[in-house]
Amino acid sequence: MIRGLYSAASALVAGLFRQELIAHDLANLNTPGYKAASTRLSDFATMLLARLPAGMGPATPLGRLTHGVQTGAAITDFSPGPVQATGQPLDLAIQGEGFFRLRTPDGERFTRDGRFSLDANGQLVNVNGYPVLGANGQPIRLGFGQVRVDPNGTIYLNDQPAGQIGLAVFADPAASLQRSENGLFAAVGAAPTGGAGGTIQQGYVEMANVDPATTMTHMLAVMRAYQAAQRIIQIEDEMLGRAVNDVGRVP
Amino acid sequence: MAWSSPHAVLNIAAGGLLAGQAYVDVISANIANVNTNGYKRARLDFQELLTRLSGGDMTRTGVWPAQVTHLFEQGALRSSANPLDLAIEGEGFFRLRLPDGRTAYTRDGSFHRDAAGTIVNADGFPLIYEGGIPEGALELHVNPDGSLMARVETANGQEWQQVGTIRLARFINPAGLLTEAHNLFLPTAASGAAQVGTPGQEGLGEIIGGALEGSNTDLSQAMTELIIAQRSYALSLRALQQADELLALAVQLRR
Repeated sequence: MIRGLYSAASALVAGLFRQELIAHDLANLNTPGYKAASTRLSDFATMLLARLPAGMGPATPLGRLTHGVQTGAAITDFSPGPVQATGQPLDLAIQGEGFFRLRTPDGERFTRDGRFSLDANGQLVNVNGYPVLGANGQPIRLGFGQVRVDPNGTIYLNDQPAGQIGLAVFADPAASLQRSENGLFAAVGAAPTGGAGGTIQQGYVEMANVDPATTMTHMLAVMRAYQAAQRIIQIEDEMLGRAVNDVGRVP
Repeated sequence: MAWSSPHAVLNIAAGGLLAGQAYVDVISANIANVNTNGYKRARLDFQELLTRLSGGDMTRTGVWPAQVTHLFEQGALRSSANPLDLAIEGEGFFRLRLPDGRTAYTRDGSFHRDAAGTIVNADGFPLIYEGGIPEGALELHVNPDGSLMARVETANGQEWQQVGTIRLARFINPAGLLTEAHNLFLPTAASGAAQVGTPGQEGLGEIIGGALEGSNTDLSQAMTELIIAQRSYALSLRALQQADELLALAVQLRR
């Protein structure tokens, strides 16, 4: 019975963690470039359950029983989000693979959020003011005038070539990238594998890849699982109470 | 094994509510200013919020509005009988002198002459330009290149003479300008310094005399955004309510 209590308790812990991820996904429904998080649920290591025979013979193995559920760290879903037209000349969306590269004080960061502007020096920067890197690994400097970005990522200022957007491609983003400050991604271990990357669409922004309907369905599932686990704990507690108080009672 | 806490799960959902509220506030401001001359609609930029724990791990903390920027698409022009109602077609801002001596910038070009004959806007702030209007000028007209013309009496009868030039200012990052009441913009470190030039040259817009630029709020787009903002708010509210129910279940485990 104690075993059952801990098993059910692990379901409560897992439920609250899943609720946290769902709340975070829903809060970021309108965050451009946001990638939804999910968690991998797995069993604890199983143990052998055996039945003690009447008398003192060897136990008969019944089978394996798991201790409960454990949550792994959250994994990020890197499927593309819907693309929204904004008409702003410095809003860029990537159609296909790849990430924009940013230079931050903590190192290079990657993002799919293409809302860019010019800082006071004419450098192309993101919403945090971090410079966007070109294909040559250097910040891109523009100036007054009409900016046009073609699907290859070439930037034209007043119809003169003025730079090239650099895209970083990762073969397995879920394994190579980790969330960092401001929702930007940092590479862990693996450097970008290189590759052509997708095309750039000017005047568009990629929105969050959170689907409200699926997320709400997950939320319902979490609620029911949590309620069921709570019920189990109450039943186990009741049985334990009986075993403690009623067994062997001398009337 | 990853785990959560009541604090985390409630705060994330609450942050989603606050963000939804801010989103609605910004859209409401745009809708309220659908008829304001020279109004430039605002956009709220969201970012994911994560906190770095002492152990080095990143933990999810919801969302936050990173900045409010203004979008400078051209508003529609409509004509006016007042020759000092000015509109800019293209890039650029009119320059105004504030009472405390600072220069402010605006797209709202509804000017008139006050009792002293100075060209001022609706709030009485003088337009900054080069030149001056002579006594007895009968009529004024502004050309697309900013030249201020006055019809004056001369020895040969009445004729048009250029009496001044209205130049426009522009910024490398207009989205970085600070908005002030009365349709004013002030420069900041993010916007860059004002660069003044002749209208119609080097990419600067032209001045259309006898016209006013309307707001660039698109009502149908704003209403669609309002629906999205309301739905997002409702979803975060559901997440908050469920988090509360889960915690209530845990608390009721043992009576």
